[in-house]
Amino acid sequence: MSLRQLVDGDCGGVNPLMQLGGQFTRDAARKDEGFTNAQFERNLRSDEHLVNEFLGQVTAPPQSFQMDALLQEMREIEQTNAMAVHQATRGMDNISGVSKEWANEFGMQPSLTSTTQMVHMQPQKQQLVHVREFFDDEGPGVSSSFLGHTPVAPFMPLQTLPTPYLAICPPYVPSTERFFEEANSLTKEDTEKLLPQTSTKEYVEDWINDYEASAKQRQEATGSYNESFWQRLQDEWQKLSEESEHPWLSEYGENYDPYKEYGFAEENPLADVENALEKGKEYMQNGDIPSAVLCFEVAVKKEPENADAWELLGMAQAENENDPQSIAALKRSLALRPDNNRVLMALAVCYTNESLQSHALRMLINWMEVNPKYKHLLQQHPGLQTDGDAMASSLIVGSKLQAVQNLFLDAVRMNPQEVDADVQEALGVLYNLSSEYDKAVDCFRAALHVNPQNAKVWNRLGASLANGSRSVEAVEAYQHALQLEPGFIRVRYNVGVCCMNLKAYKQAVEHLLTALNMQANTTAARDLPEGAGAIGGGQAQMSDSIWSTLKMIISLMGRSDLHGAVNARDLKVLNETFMDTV
Amino acid sequence: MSLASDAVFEKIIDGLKGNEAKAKSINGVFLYKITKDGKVAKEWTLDCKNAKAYEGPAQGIKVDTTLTVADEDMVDIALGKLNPQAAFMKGKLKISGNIMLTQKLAPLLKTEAKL
Repeated sequence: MSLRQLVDGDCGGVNPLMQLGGQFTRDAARKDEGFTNAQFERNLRSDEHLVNEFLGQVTAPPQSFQMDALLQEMREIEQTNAMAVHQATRGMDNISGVSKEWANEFGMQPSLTSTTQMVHMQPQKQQLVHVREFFDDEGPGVSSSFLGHTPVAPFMPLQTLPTPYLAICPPYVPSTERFFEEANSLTKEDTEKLLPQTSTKEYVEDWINDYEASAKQRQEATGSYNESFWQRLQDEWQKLSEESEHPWLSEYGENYDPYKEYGFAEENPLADVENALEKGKEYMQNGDIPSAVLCFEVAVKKEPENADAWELLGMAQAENENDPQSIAALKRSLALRPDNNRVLMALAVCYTNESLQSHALRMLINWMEVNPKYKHLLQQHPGLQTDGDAMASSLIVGSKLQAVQNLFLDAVRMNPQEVDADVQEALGVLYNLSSEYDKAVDCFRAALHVNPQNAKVWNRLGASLANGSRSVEAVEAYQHALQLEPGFIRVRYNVGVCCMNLKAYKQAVEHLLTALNMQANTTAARDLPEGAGAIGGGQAQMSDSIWSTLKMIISLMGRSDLHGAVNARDLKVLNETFMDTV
Repeated sequence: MSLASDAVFEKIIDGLKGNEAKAKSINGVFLYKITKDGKVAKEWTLDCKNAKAYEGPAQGIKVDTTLTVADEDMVDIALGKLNPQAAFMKGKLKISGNIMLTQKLAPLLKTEAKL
């Protein structure tokens, strides 16, 4: 009976079950907000159903649009949106390294993120959010590492900076459009149709205003960041250019012109020799280079306008290990006859030895210019053509070296079947300039393949090997050179340097002393009746480079006691000290 | 105290005397601090602006680059046994100041075989 009391409707009285049912119907609001759990919902539904059946009436109200929930959600979105935008712009201020384009795109991403938060029914977007969040984290890191490089290489084309970053981002444009479509439909149609309350309209306006404001703020931030970046770049550049003595800019100028004057031997024992030019050639043939030098000196004194004599003198001085004198003589010869390719090549080698890179390059370009076989190749490299001296400064030395190397490689490719020894030699010199000694070795080997009897090329091969730290192989090449030309002073000097680099100081001293003795005791001097004058002539022929190297080796040996003899250039003492022990 | 690297600096002094114009084209002032057993034993100044070199700190001129290197390493660099770049990377050669200028020092320092 008591049950009946529960079930039967009492007139005027409150049915407890009805109360319970009312409570459940009210709860639908919370369910719409998404707080009810699914299990409870299902239980509730069946209960509700039972109750409804029992009561014979529909108690659940139609699920109206819950504006409160939507407002709450939108407010949240607005907050996160503004916050994200704020963070993004603040981050960009700090980064200050990427272009406006990138910045705009970066700024858009947070709004996208919130889109996907709002529109729950598209799970694939949720994934997108994660991807994007990942890249958002990565983004600043990547750009700041870019920035780390910008002061070093301020010329990096800025427009290319964002591309790698964009490349890894999934395309977002379609989803953005979708967001706006959805947003529009939500704000205009659904909201207004379902709940035509004024507050909503106000709110939507607010939201739009806020969005516009944040967009403006973002744009301003981007603008100011761009400005500051360029300002910094400009400052950096100004600082660089203010350093007037910046190493790259003060690189040996083309105008710097050493070794202008040829220094003649003060006392030439051969001063009165008849037909000095022929006599010099004879000495040269016999391998007595210092005597040949003396003869040629006489010849050029007699005929200062004789290009051949100057050329021979220059060549002889090069073999005599005296580059400064060689350069001076060759330049005189070149001035008298500017199209002599032998002289141009010899000068290029001398300049290379003296580390005058731009001069050497100039000579090699000229060499190609006077060579009818390869002249046309220069037209393909307009930057290298001779338009006065101005061109030299327009190219950085490094890239110019590369360009000349390419030029000569073109020359090689013109006729791959037939090896042109001269071109190979030039390339060998070029690779010495760029310190690519292994390549230089290959070039000189190719040149030797054509003409194995050329002592000079053997020496160049040896020098390239030695400079490339292949001293043992170098000695072999030097041996070839000396077999062909025993009087080749430069080779003796090179062997000495080679021994020194191998820390075989004693052998090094011996070789250098041999070279000095050869320079001092020329046959020409011995031919003369008075031996006294011979020493004076010989002294002048001895090269400073050999003496200074000798001095260093003696110091390295710990024989500082002999410094006096070296400074006085007293060969006799040194010969006694070192040559007797052989 | 005499060090092995003294020979190298004497060679440099000779080289500067031989060709002033070339030295001046390097256009820098270098201070070498030669260490022996971890302590600075000697200092050499290479004044390429005035084409002179001498023992001791720079006299009346601003030093562009200071190089600190051990005595034996200095000799190895001069003999071409040790590449200056490699020495720098390994920390055997410490450089402060204008590093770019040191690139130009190589021809003065190293005795190269002649082509």
